[in-house]
Amino acid sequence: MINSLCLYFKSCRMLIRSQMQYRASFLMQTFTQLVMMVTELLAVLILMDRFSVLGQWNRGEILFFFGVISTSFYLCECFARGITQFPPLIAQGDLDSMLIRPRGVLFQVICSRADPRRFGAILIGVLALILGSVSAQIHWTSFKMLLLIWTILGGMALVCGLFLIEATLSFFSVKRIELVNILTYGGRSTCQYPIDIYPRGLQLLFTLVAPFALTTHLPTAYILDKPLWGAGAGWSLLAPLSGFAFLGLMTFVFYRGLRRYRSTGS
Amino acid sequence: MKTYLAAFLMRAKMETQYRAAALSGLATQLFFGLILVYLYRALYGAGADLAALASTATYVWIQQAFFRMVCADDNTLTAAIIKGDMAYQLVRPVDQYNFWFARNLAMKLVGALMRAFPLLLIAALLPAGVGLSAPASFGALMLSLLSLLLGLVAVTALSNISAGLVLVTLDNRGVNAVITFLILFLCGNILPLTLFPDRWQRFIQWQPFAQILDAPIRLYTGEYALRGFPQIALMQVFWIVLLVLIGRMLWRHTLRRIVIQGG
Amino acid sequence: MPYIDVQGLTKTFTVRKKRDGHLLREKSTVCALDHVSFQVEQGELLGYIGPNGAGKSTTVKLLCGILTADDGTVTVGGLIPWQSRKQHAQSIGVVFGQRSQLWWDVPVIDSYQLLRDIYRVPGQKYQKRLCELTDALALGDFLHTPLRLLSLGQRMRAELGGSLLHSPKLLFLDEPTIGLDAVSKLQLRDFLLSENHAHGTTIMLTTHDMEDISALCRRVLVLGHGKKLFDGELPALLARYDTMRTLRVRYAGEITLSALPESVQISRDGDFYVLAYPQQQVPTDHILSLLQSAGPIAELTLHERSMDRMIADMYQEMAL
Repeated sequence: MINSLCLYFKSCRMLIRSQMQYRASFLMQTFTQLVMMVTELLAVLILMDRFSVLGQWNRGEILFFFGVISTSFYLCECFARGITQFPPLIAQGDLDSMLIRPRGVLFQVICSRADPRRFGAILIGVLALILGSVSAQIHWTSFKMLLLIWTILGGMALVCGLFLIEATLSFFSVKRIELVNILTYGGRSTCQYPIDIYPRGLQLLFTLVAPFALTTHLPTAYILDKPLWGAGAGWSLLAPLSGFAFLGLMTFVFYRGLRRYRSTGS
Repeated sequence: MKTYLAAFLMRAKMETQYRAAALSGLATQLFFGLILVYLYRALYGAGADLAALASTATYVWIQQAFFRMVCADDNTLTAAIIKGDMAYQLVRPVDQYNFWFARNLAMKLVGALMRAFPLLLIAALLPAGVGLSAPASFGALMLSLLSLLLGLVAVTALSNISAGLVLVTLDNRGVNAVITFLILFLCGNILPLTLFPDRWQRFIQWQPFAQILDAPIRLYTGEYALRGFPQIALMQVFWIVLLVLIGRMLWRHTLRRIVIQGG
Repeated sequence: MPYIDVQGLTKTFTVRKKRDGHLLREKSTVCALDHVSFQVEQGELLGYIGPNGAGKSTTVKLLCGILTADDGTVTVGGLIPWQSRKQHAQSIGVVFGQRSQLWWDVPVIDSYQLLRDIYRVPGQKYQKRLCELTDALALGDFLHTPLRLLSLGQRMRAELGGSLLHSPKLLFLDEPTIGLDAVSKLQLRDFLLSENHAHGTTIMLTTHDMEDISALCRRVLVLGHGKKLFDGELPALLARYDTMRTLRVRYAGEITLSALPESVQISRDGDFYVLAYPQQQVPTDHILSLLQSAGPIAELTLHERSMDRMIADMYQEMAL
């Protein structure tokens, strides 16, 4: 385990050095990410400037929700970029190279890419957390601090699991299936805002299928002292586990897909 | 002229091949449209002004319907530039700018039409305040279509500038992504331009990106009066001329450099 | 017990074809390997040839543990590759001529260090092995250069070094000399021979380059349409197809050629007589003595058929 972690960070260092070979391009892309993220933040600010409240939530609280999702999502994209890049990887035959090495396939997939360009986006997410926290006047306790970190970790696991869906589908079809984006990027866009503003159908989709509402919204609402669905400290602490459970399930499905790949070839 | 028409038709035909992509794009756009509409419903709140809500929903649906027109780029061009195949392109006795303009135009037009008709039809069937409302008047519909055509030309001119910048920087991910995203934001896809602060509205309506879809939509919903159309069309034409000039200058400059460097 | 033991190995693929106008794709099955059996001893150098699509790379993928078999058994060093994938991977090295396993934008040495960690090679052993490979493959000049800046020959050497860092017992090579110049090819062959000699590394070479095969492998295995067609020594294979010889001869004066056996075909090419004859029936020295007795010879050349030509004939025969 420690050996693997070491190897992962060594891979990351190497990937960053690779990217640094194209410094101008790297800086440009980092800048791109930053611009996109600032713009998204701006969009939230513009909306809250016009409407001032969204359901029961004020500007600061909305910013905080935005921060939780963005931080989890972009942290995941930064560290598990290999999963999102799996379809081209399989198309280029690089999966075969991974199968001839004495390491787990998913581990090698994660090691194969890292995306330091997302640092800007992550920073904006953290900025939104701070702005939101100040504006919403959150009463911080050490429990809430830990809960926030736990929530973000759960969110990362969930997003990772969602990206694994597309990776698994690429075992079955050479075409990229855009529809999966509804759950990943669509999930991020939707769940930037608290789940209770949406109609029942969407609430169910993002509670039962892609459980953003459980993994991130429930504990976030608790931190904001406006518990959702009457969830107290205990439930809020348990809720992020749903993200890990989802990741576990999708990992299982991924390996089933891999088994099929190995019996049918590409 | 015949060459460019042929390029246009070829790309148009190619675009019709991607039916599966169009279908999944349609579903994606439908989903994002619904999310946005419900977000705005929540923002307007319980005692909402139904007219404002219906107008915003209409704005969202038209934006979603023409998403492909705004952000589809003929990436064979940028790929050719990066891979250095541009040298082959330069051998052909055609005006490069016009050639790619024709291809991009075809791709955006056909790609948008394939998604827009079914999506707008579905949106129109949704209840008022969620779905697409009828145009303010028959005249508004006609003029907004006219304005949409101008918007199509404007966004193609923008896309050619973006490709021209790729020619300069030889980096197809950074520059294109930033421009595409800026276009999406400033043309009203991410957030209707009508919801921007009132004090920004004048600037917002004059900037080039608003000429793509925002102007046609405001004509459709009746926010722009019909008698204001000449002024709106003039603004669109002004930007088209300017964007084409900038694009051509950029292309001439960089293509000359490529020729000198030998690809 | 042989090191590699393949018994009745069978693999079929389902190919889906999409026809214009049809919504559903048509399915058809292709038998890539049809009950193939062979054994390889530790330390053997085996050439594995056959036309494109014969099933060579499928075999290699099965032996590497990338694919699982439909039927039949494979053991390599007592392990079933696809079942004990990770353990098996530790003892094999693979070089795909067309694909790189090193990282494109970083110096070769950095790639090697990562491979060391991936294969868990102990520090001291790694240092020793690296020195050895650096000497044998002359990697010293470009060990600190990013892969993308290397020439094709250097890149192939770097790849080979990378696949041998963990001292595998079995090395798979797929078209290793493709695109290399003559000097690089010879160097590579010398290295493979010495590696095989020094460490007893079993090498399985897949290639279309017959010179590679004849320089490296005593034993060849020929595959066609998923079936094993030949398994034996290279000279024996060639003898089957190396039947006709051609002789070009020019005389100082005018002569008449007579009394040649019936099976010799004669034609004229300017001043030259061109004689084609079946070598096994009519020995060359017999022909020569007959020619000499006909008059003073000004010029004479003997043509052997090229190996590529023979292989082409062989493949053609198989297609029938």
